[in-house]
Parts: sequence; C-alpha cells; structure tokens
Amino acid sequence: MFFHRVNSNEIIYQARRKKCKMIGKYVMGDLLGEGSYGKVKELLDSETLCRRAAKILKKRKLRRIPNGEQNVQREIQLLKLLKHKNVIELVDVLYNNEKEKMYIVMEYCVGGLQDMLDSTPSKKFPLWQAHGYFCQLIDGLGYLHSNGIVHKDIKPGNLLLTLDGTLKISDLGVAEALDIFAPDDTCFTSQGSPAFQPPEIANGLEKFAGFKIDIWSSGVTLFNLTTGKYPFEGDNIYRLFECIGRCQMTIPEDLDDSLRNLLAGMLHKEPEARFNLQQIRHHPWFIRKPARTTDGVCVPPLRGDHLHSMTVLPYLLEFHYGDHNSSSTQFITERQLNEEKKIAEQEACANNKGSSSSGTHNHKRSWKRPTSCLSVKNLPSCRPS
Amino acid sequence: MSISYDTRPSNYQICSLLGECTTKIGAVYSARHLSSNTVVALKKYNLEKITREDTALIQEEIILMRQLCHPNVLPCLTAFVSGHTIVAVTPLMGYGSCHDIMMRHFSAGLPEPAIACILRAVITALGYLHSKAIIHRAVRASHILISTDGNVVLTGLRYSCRLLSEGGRWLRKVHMFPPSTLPNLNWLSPELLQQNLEGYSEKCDVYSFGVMGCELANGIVPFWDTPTTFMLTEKMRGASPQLIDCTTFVHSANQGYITEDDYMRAVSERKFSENFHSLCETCMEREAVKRPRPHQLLSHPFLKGAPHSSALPSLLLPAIPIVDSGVLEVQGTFYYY
Repeated sequence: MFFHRVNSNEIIYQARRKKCKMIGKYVMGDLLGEGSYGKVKELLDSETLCRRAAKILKKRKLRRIPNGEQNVQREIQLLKLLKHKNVIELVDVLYNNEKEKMYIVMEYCVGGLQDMLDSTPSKKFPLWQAHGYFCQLIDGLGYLHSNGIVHKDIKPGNLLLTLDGTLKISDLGVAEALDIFAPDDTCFTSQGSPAFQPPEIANGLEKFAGFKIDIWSSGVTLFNLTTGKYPFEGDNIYRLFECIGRCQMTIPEDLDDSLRNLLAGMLHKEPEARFNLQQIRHHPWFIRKPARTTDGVCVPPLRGDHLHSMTVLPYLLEFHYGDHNSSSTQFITERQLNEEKKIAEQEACANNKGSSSSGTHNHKRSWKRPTSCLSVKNLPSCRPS
Repeated sequence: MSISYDTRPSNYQICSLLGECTTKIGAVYSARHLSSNTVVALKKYNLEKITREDTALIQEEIILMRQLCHPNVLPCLTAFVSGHTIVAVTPLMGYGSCHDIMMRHFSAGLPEPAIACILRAVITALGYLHSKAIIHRAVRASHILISTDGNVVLTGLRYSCRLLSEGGRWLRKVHMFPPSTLPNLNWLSPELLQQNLEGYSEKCDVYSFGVMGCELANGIVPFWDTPTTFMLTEKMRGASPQLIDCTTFVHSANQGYITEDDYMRAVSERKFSENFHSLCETCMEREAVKRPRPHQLLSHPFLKGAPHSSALPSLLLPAIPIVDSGVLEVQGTFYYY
C-alpha cells in the first residue's frame, strides 16, 4: 500500500456552491449573528427587494429554555402592536412545521452598539455619538412606556442600528405589557441581564416599579457608552448584586458636570427619587448636543465586508446564472460587433498616427452583453408581472 | 397667471374622470374653476380608503409641491380637505402621462425627436430638484406629464427624499430604502437597490432617467417580464438595459417573451441615433461617480439637438390632448380619460 503524500497547502478545496433557499417569499442569506434563542440570518424579500433579518428559532431548543416558547410568543404579540422609528419592526412570522422551525422576520439592521463598542480599544463612543444614540433610546423608550410596555432588558447589545444610523430597541423577549386596567406599573418579575439590574431587584424586592427599571438600565447603558466601563462590577452575580444593592459607584471625574448629574439622577438608589423620562428629556445634557469634534465609531465589518453588502446576492447569482456563466449562452448583437470593430479601428488609427491623435471621442465603452432571457429561472414565488 | 385658486369645494365643478394615480389610491378629475372659468385637474384621495402611511406621503408631497417652483415640475395650485377627501388642485395636463400616451398610441415607443424633447425637460427638472437637495427616486414615464401646448413636467414627488440631515446639513449619501417603492423597482439604480453602507446620492435619479429613456423608446420598461430578483442581479453585475432597435434586437425564433409580431417588426426595422444610445449608456453607468450630473447632460449632443417643446404636439400625433370635455373621439371609438 502506498500513500501519496500531499502538502496541506496543495489541497484545493472546492468552493461550496451557494445554493439558493427560499422561505416563503424570502431568499435566504448568510448568518448575521447568534441571538440568545438561536441564529439570526439575512433574508431578501423577493417581491420588494427589501433586506430583512430573521430570527430562526427551533422548537426543540426553545422547550429546553425556561419560559422559552412563552417569551417568544409574547415578543411577537408585543411587536405586532408597536410602530415607532426607534423600536424594531416585526415584518412577518413564518413557520415550518416539518422542521419545527420558526422565522421571525424583522427589519434589517447592520449591527448593534455592543459590537461597535467591542471593536474600539477604548470601548466607548465619542460624546456626540453617545448623545445621539441616547436621545434615540429615550425616544423609543418613551414610546414603549406610553404603550404600557416595560422592556426590562435595555443594554447596548439590544440596541441595533439600521443602515442610516437609526437606533432600534430590539429583543422584547423579557418585556412585560402592563394590564390596561392596572393602577400603576408594578412588576413582580425580571429576567434581564444582571449588570443592568437596579438595586430593588438586586436586593430581591417582591414588587417594584417597572418603568424605573428601564430608566436605571438606560442609565447604566449611558454610563457604558460614555466611559467604556460599568458602574457596578463583581466577580460573580452575588458580588455584583451586592455591589448594586448598596449602590456604591463612582462616576468618573473627567466627565462634565451635567453628564455626571444626569447619570447620578438615572442611577439613584431609590426608584421614587430616580429621574423619570420627562426629567431626562429636560435635562441640560440631553438638550445640549455636544459638538462633533472627532470621527465616530463605525459598525465593524461582517466577515471582512465593511459595507455590509447583501449576503443574499451570491445565492441569487448562482440561482439565476448558475452553470450558464460560460460564454456559450450569450448573444452578440450587431451593435456590439460594430462597437467592437469601431474601437479596434480607432486603436489601429491611433497607433498609426502616434500619440498626437488619441481621438476626441471617448469610445472606451465596455459592452455589456445581454443575457438570454431563456436561461432565467423563475423563483417559485415571483410574480411574472 | 395671476388667478388665485381658492379652497372652496363648491367653486370647482367636476367635468370628468381622467384616471387613477399610479398606486391607485387616488382619482384624477378634470374640473372647471368657476370663478376664473379655467380648467384644472383635481387629484382626490378618499381618506377612509387609504392607510395612515399613505396619508403622510400625500401630505408631504403636497407640502413639497407647494414649495417648489420650476416650469418643468408640476405645481400644486392649492389643496384642501372636503368631507372625507383630500383634494389637490394642479394645472390640467392635456396629454396625460407619457405612459398613457404610449399605452394608447405608441406601443413600440415614442418617436426619437419627441423623446429628446421630453428628456431635456426632465433633466432640467432633475437639475432643479438636486439643487434643492431633493432626490426624486421615481423617475418613470408615468410620472412625466405633458400639457396641451407641449410643456413637459415631472411629478411623483411622493417618493422623493431629502439629501439633508435632521440638522439641515447637506449629506453626501443617504441609506434609507424607500418603503413604498415597490412599483418603481425596475427604474431604481443598483446602488439604491443594494442597500449597504455605501448608500446612494442624487445620481440614482440619473440612472432612473436612463432607464426611462429606454422605456420611452421601447414602449415598455426594461425587465418588465423578468423576475424581480433577476432584475437585481442584472443591475448588480452592471448589465444595463438597452434601446431596442435593429442594432440591438436579437433575432431569435424562440425568444418568446415578446409575442406581438407588430412590435417585433417595428423594433427590428427602426434605428435610433448613436447619440441616443450613448446618452442612455452613460446615464446607466454601474458606478454612480461615472454618471454625469444633470447640467452636464444638458450639453449632451442628443439633448442639445432636441426640438423645442412647442414642436411636441405635432411629434406626438396621432395622440391629441383633452381640452375640457374629457371625451374624445379617436378612430371611431370613445376614449374616456
């Protein structure tokens, strides 16, 4: 027996073919990220050509997470009712019963604030950029609260950005819609991220004011966006909660006074004394826009792509042209031939006369050959209008 | 014109229905303004039948039209709410839209001199809009209207957007994919369709202008018969639509997508000028930076040599404008506008 030795550098892996997959009217693209409940993939609406993102949830996996299915259903219910510039929009919900999968189609976002923070060495934003995001967060939060919804999980990781830089509050998985007949915003449960929980939850209070939880976590978020640090830290959740429960924190001295004042107001230990949205909106730091002195932090590239281009495109190219990429199916028209002849003649002419007569006409047109319409396959759900 | 059009519904007497707006959310009527005895067009939207988003778009369109003033942009003379309807009063455009003209009389496309005349007016209008930091985003034949005396105006500002930030700073690029743009997809530029961080600028209108050039010449918009996703991939590869004439027509027996024999014969025998071909090509450059600006296009030989707009009525024969009766007799059949 003889084994042919091959250096691993010599192996050419065959590029995996990008097989086009449809979910309803949506064309499937690449992975955008992993959420708490499953994958998030890019989609393209084949009718409107609008980019979308879908949370893909597996029923089997959901069952293993406490309150998993319940949380998902609640999020869908809530999102269906909401419509605001700064709250993520639910577009569609699709089910695949055979695969026990669920697709929650939402508007497309290029990235989240957490990814942007992680991509910078200082882990923070310039003041003007943090201010812009914070104002949008407060606008979105104001809308949610006015609709009787407590988000309960405000943090940079749940604040996404669209292509034009609009902030979208996302992940309403643990949010609570108050009963319309409830006398106030009293809540009994919270499943948000530990580092963003207020003292009343860290201390294990039985009931607490819901809206003030979101104010607190927005305060922690603002602290994080502007300083790159967290106001409370601990090696484990017990230490962390101990620290939050005592509400011991230091706001960095180098922040300007009005921002320090706003942070102190939002991170007040007593919920009753903590700022409400109205106070935040009227706060001097909120009103006064910091000057745009430095470049902002950009959305980090996705798999090397700084532009975050459509990941659906390679699949569509494979679908529409596939093996027809060879030249055999192309048509050449008379005009193209004439054009090519003319260019050839001109070049010959230019060569003969030397460089002096390089021609006044610009005939360097590249001819784009029309593809034959015969090789076009129809997507199953495309209307041939 | 110093006639002031008031907002009293009773002062407008409706003559006849002209047609529906592109998205079929409103109806257009010709009407007589009684106190001045002039004929105008009324665009009516029933508030009970349209969505809140549509209402907002209509409102923005009317506000924008009231702010603009250019001979090649359709003005809004006045607007008011009467009962459950929004009424926008505009001058009557006797020929209707270029799309209408082609549907009725020129199924294989308009004559080349008429196209030159129309395109010159449209590029002038686009130059004006761009100077006001407005991107039109819906340049297409159905948004080009022609008046009885041959004046060409651009409308459809409902789909437009501002190239300005919230603070009023002039932006280099915008990124928003227009949510209501479904009917305009075939005309949109690749950089608008690709929806990435590169964004798009006012140059996307120049691309749509090129597509409309093809539409006016071919009688039908490019990609009308292909799946939407194929239109996308073609544009992304840089394959631009073409004018169909004897130099570009592909003789193929089994090219079954155009079945009308008359159409085939018409397009395979005609020949568009080299200037026209080159204009469309340069407008539909894949790279937005390589496309000329509207004022540069005005000196393009094809548009420079365009006939004066007063010649347009004779170029558009046999199409004839409606004046005020609303009912026309064309070749023995009645056409209700």
